[in-house]
Amino acid sequence: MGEIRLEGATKVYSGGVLAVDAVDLTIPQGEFMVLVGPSGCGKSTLLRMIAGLEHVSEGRILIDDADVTTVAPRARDIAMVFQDYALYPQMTVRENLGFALKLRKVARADREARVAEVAGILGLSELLDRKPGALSGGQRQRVAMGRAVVREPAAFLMDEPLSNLDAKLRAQTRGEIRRLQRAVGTTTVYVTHDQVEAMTMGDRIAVMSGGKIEQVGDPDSVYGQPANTFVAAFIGSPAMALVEMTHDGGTLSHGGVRVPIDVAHAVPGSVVAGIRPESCRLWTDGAGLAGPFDGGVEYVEALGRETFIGVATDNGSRFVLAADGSVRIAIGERVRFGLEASAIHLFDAATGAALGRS
Amino acid sequence: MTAGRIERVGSYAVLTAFAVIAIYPVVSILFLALHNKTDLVTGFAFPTHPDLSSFKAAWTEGRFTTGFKSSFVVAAAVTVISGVLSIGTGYAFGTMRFAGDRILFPIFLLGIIFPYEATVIPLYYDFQDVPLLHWNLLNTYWALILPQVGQSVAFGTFWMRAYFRSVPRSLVEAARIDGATSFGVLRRVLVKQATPAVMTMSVLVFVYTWNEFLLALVLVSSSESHQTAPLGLSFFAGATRAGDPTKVAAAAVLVATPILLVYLFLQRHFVRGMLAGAIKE
Repeated sequence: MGEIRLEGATKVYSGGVLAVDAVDLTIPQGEFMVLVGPSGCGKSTLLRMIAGLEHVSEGRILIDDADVTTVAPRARDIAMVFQDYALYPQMTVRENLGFALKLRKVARADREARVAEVAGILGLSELLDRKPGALSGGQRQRVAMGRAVVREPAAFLMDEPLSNLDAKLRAQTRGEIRRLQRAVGTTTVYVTHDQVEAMTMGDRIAVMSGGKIEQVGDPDSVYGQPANTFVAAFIGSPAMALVEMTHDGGTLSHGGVRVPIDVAHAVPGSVVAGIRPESCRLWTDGAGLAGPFDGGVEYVEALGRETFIGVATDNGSRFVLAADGSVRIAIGERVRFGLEASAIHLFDAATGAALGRS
Repeated sequence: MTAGRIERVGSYAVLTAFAVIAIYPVVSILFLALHNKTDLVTGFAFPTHPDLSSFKAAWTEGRFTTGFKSSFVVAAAVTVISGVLSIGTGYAFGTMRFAGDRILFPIFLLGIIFPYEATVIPLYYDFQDVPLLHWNLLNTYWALILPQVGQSVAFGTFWMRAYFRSVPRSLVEAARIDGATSFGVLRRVLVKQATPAVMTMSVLVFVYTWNEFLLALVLVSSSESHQTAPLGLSFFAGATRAGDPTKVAAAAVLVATPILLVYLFLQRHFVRGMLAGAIKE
C-alpha cells in the first residue's frame, strides 16, 4: 500500500504566481523518491500538496488509486517530517511519539508497546520522558522520524529533514533514514536542495526547476544522461562545465579548443558541450585525452583526496579539472589540460535539451 | 572607573530616577492614608504613628463590601468570557485563511480604536429596553459585563492573534497530519503553550475592567447592590466628604489593592507574555 500518483498537479498562489506547473509523477509502493532542485523550484510546495497542506489549483493527487485531492491531511494516511521537526514542545518524547496513535484512539497498551518498539529502533528509549527542549538537534530529528514511523502510514513525506544538522551528523543520518525506510518499506517522498542527499538516498530522483520536473530517473541515469543543461549543471559537484561550441564535421570548436568527436546521430552546428570535472584533466602524457589546451587557473578547491581546478581559456571558455590531491597549483598559473572526448555531453544550444553523448 | 562601569552606574541612576517618579505618588497616597484624620498633612509625609482608622471609615462610607463583590463578579466574568472568546478568534485570525478574514479583522480592531465613551449613552437606551427581546438590563451585572466583554474581545483578538501568528506554522501542520481537527490542534497542542500570553491578556483585561468607572456610573447607578468599587470612590469626591483627605487616600488604596495583588501574583507570567511577542526564537 502506498502508491502516490500526481496527475497534472498545479499550484497557483493568489497573485498569480505559478509554483507547481502541471506535474505528472507516479511513485510506486515502497520507492524512495527524492524531489531535488534549487530554492523556489516548487519542490516543497509539491510535497505540501501531497500532504494536503496546500490547496491543489488544478489536477489530481491519488494515493493507492483513491483521489485525495480535496481530502483533509488527517484523512490521507501520510506522515510528515518537517525541516524544523515541529515537535510538540509541552509534550515528552513519549507523548510526541504517541500523539497520532492517541488521536486515532489506539488502545493505551497497544500505543505504549508501539512507542516503545519505535523508540528502541531509533535509540530513543532513554529519552522517552524528556521534553524536546532538553534534546540535541540529532535527537530531535530522530523523534521527528519516530513520530512518522510509529503510525505505519501509507507514505512518509520529508521536507529537508537534515538541513538543521551539522555536516557529520547529516551524513550519518542520511544512511540511517535510508536503512530505516528499507526496513519498513514505506513509500517516501523526500525533498532536498542538496544533490548529495538526492544522489545517495533516492531510488529515483526528480529534478525540479520553475515548478516543473526536468527529469526523473535513478541517480545513475540522472548523473550519466542529464536530460538538459539545467539537470547537467545542477547534479554533480563541482558542476559540469557548459561551453557553447560550434560543430563542424565531427569537430567541436571554440577558440583554441578543438575536440574531435564521434557522433552516431545528426548534430547541429551550434551546441552546448558539457564536460564533467572527472573527464577534464591536467595534461601529462595525453593518453586518451583530446588536447592539449591552455588556460589560466581561476580557483583551486583542495579537498584533500582530490583537488578541483577552475580554468579559463583565453577566449573565455571555463572548465573544471579534477586532479590528484597531491597536485600543488596556484591561482593565476597557466596550465595545460585535456578533455575526454567520449564523455562530452551535447545539448541543443537553443533549447538546452540533451542531444546524447558524443 | 572604567567606561563600562560609568555606563552601568549611569544606567542605574536613570532607572532609579524613573522608578522613583513612578512610585512616588503611590507611596505618597499610602502614607497619607496611614495618618489619622486629625494629623495635619502636606505633601510627602511619613506616618510616624500608623493609624488604620481611615481605612475602616473609608470601607463603610464607600460601601466597599458590596462594591468589591460587584467589581469582582464583573471583572471575573468579563475576564473569563472574553478570554475564551479571544483564544478562539485569535486562533482563527492567527493561523487560518478564510473568506473575509481581511475585512473582519479590521472590524474587530475598531473595538480598540473607537472611543467607548461615545457608546455609553446609546447603551443606556439599548439596555433600558433591549431591541427585540424587550429586557431591561439596567442596574444588572449584565449591563456592565456585556459591553466590556465586547471591548475586551477586540483587544483579546488582537493580542491572541499576534501570539498565534508567532507559533511555527509547522507545529499546526504536524498536528493536523497527526490527525487533529482544527479544534483539536488548539486544545491539545497550542493552548498550553499559550499560557503566558493568555495570562498577560487576563491580567490586562481584569485590571481594565476593575478600573472601569463611566459604564458603572451610567448603567447601574440606581442599584446600590450592583455598584462597583471605583464607583464607591466617587462618593468621596463630593463636597460633603472632601474634608478628610486621609479617608479619600484610604479609599483609593483599597480600590487599588486587588489590582496590585493580581499583578504581583501573575507578574512572572505577565513579563514573559509581554516579551513573547517581541522575541522570535
